[in-house]
Amino acid sequence: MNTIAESQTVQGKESAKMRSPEKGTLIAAHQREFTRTIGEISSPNPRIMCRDVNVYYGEKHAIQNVSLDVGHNEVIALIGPSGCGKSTFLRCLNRMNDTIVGCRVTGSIRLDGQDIYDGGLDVVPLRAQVGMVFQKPNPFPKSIYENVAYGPKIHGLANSKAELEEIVESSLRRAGLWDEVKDDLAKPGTSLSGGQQQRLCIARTIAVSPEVILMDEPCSALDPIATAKIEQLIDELRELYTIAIVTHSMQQAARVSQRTAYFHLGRLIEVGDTAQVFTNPRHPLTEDYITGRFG
Amino acid sequence: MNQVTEGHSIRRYDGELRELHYKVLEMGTLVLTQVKEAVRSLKTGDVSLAAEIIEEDDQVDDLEVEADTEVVALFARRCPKGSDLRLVMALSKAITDLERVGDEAVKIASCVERLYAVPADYPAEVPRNQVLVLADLVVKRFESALRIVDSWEAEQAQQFIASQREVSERFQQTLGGLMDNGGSDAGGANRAVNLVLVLKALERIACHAENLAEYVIYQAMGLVIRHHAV
Amino acid sequence: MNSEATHVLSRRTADIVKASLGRRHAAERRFRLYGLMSIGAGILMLVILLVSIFGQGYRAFSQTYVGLDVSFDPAVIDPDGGRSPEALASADYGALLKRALGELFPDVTERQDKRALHRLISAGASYAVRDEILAHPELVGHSARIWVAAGADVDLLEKGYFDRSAAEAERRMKDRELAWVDRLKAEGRLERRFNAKFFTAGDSRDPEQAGIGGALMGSFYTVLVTLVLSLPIGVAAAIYLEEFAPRNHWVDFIEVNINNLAAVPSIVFGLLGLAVFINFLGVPRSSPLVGGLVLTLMTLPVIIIAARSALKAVPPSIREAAMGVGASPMQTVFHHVVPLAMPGMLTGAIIGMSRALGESAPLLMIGMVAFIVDIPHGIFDPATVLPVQVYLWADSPERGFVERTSAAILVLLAFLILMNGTAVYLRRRFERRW
Repeated sequence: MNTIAESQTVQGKESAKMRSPEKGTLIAAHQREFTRTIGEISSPNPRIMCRDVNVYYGEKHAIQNVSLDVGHNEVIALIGPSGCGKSTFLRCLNRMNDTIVGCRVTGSIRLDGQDIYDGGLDVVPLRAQVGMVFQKPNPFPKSIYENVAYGPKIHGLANSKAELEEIVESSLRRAGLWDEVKDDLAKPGTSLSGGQQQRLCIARTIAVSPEVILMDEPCSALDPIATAKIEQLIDELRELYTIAIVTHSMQQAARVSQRTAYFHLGRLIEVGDTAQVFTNPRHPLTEDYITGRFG
Repeated sequence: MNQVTEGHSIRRYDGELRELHYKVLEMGTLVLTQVKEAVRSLKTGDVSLAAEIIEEDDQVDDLEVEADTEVVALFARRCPKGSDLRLVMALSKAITDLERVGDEAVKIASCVERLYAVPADYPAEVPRNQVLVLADLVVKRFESALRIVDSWEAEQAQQFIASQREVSERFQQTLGGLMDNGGSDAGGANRAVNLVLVLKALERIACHAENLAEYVIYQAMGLVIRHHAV
Repeated sequence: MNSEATHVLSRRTADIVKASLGRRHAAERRFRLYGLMSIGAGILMLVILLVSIFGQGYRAFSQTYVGLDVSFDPAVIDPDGGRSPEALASADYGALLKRALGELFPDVTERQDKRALHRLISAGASYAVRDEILAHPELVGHSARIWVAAGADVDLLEKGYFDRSAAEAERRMKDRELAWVDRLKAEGRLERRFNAKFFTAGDSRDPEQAGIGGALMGSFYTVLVTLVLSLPIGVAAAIYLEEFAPRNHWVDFIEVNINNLAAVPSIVFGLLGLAVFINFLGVPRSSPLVGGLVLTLMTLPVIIIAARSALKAVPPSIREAAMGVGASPMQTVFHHVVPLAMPGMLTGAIIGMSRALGESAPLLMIGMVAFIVDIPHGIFDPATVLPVQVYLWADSPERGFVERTSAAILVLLAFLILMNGTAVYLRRRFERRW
């Protein structure tokens, strides 16, 4: 009797043919193979438009010719193996890479039509427009209130104390944390549990009313219940914000996103509707990654 | 890590998928035997063989339960994605179809029992032969469908489905033939009804065989081609 | 590998492990013993040091006083009768004390014996009488018992430094003088009191008059100058280097040099101070200002290195968090990073300050080793500092300075412990978890 391993799927056979390193090295074969992203990179209603983005860390070419749109009220998941450039790409969207020595970005990234790498653009308003939530919950070692109020304060978003309090309350409410902390706003943010801290960080981000929220593996340090709460929150926030999330959990990408982008060795290999990517990926590399065939 | 490999990183996962595939093939083999024996009993009028077939159906049912349990376990443990997800879905559906084919074999067997219960009602040669010719064709179709499930070749599956129209036409012709040759003597009604029922069961088996091929195509290409011409 | 093989292997592993277990435990015990021994040796050294210093020094905190019935003769004190403070201040109180002593021992008539008698009380005793009169001018014309500091030899005798049983020729005090002291004691005119003057008086050639007040103030002003200069400069330099400076060869060069400066012997800074601050800039020598400037040069690298490591210890996630909500680099540093690094920076600063407080070598080069009697009242007055005072006294030939040297060391140690204690307290108080 034949086994599945012996008789690979049609796709498997085709990809095996593609991958056979008969001419040149395997790397060269890869590079020929990956030059074009599979799937629809553009969005009918784009908020962020990236075209031919390249990122270099010194000599290292970390991101190669990535073009991708992120639409209004859309959650896009960036997945891929470690070191594939998904976090680097995410950090380009609010210029967090600026702080890294030797990092160079080329190509165009437009937020609502405005090129964010335009020389005249200040990063401060950009980061107010494009908020970020990090892998490890990182509340300031200050009170819960101060954590949320900090952004509005430095940007002068509130004219009075009452207005500031209102912003803090509504942000905490939207982050689903208000009922848990409303009586202890003076307690340090670091005294909360990991999941609460992460929601506090989300509240801190939405307090400055951004248009886009970037999340860099926001649940990697959390237990499943806290993760579920964050995912629910992401789903609710989608009504108001554009969200790009980097995740190592394919389940999470499948659960929260509408579109999924697969990165490999600094290239955007495939992008498409999440359901399509997870049931019927079109590129063999995507297939291998999501089915767990990376050895 | 950047080297693409054939198997899963978790090797047991490969084993589990293979096991499910084996189980489906084992079920297919059993069901194929049932169908062959049902046809033989129709040919020879062996009522005891028919009774055996009806009893054997329990084995098929047991296998179906086992295979379903494996499918559920795979979903729970591995959360299959992409081609794995389609494979498990395809195999799961194949299990249902095979179980139905088993049921059709049982239906044929019980028709055989009724046909040969009263000697006077033995079917006349001409209509019976017409059904038997078709029965051989169905057995052959089912057998090659199983072979496709075994080798999991999408191209063969496509050819198989392409030839299905021809089979349907044969059924129409045979049905027409049965109408023309329906006897008017005593027991003629019994004969005619049972032969039509056998014919219907055979047609269902051919349909299930086509479904099996469709699942292979679905898994391999991610396309749902059911209810569509290829 | 089949299961039987693993089983066999695991059993063998267990046996091998068991066989070596004794050796491992012995090694652990040995290592613990070494540790305990070294800590024990350290504690022993500390105890010996403290016991010897304290044993020598504690007596300096008391002083023998002689009670004399002085009649304040207006003819001597204030012949004009105006009772003006100037007249009272310039009167010859020594004559009054000599008269009082003469009344107490009327049988002493020889000039040489009288001189010996007068040595029973301190040469500075007349200033104590003067201060008493200035405080209570109504005493003029009356007589009262005044307690004045005893002479150095009497003080040492009372504190048990002299062996009475030795042959007279080998003694500093002759039998006659001993008899006088014994009579004073019998009459209740000899007392040991707490030596408050030790903390308030300036330096003196006479041990019983010498105090560390001048050195304390000198140290205070010097460390103040050092703190005011080195803390802001050091912290600012550290913040700039750590948070804002571009990463290039210049910054690397500066970093290496700061680390080298921290290792430069302190006396070199003294030479630098002499050349630059005194000879070139004309800063008054021996002043706390120039001392503070030199110590600033010495402490700056320490503070910069400590502050930089405190800034480095702030997790980058805090910086990312601040920048993620749109804080500018300046806001990120001053709202978040510096407050978190503050305890570490302060600890480094206080440790640098206590090093400055204990430093003597560079100050020798800039003239702070001069004999200065007056207590400094500002950063421009000539001054000396505690460690230099210790050095000066340790060098003095008079027997009475031995205990004073130890006492000064005790005071210096007390201040160092106080400063380091403050550093620990600050760290505990402001340390925050993130």
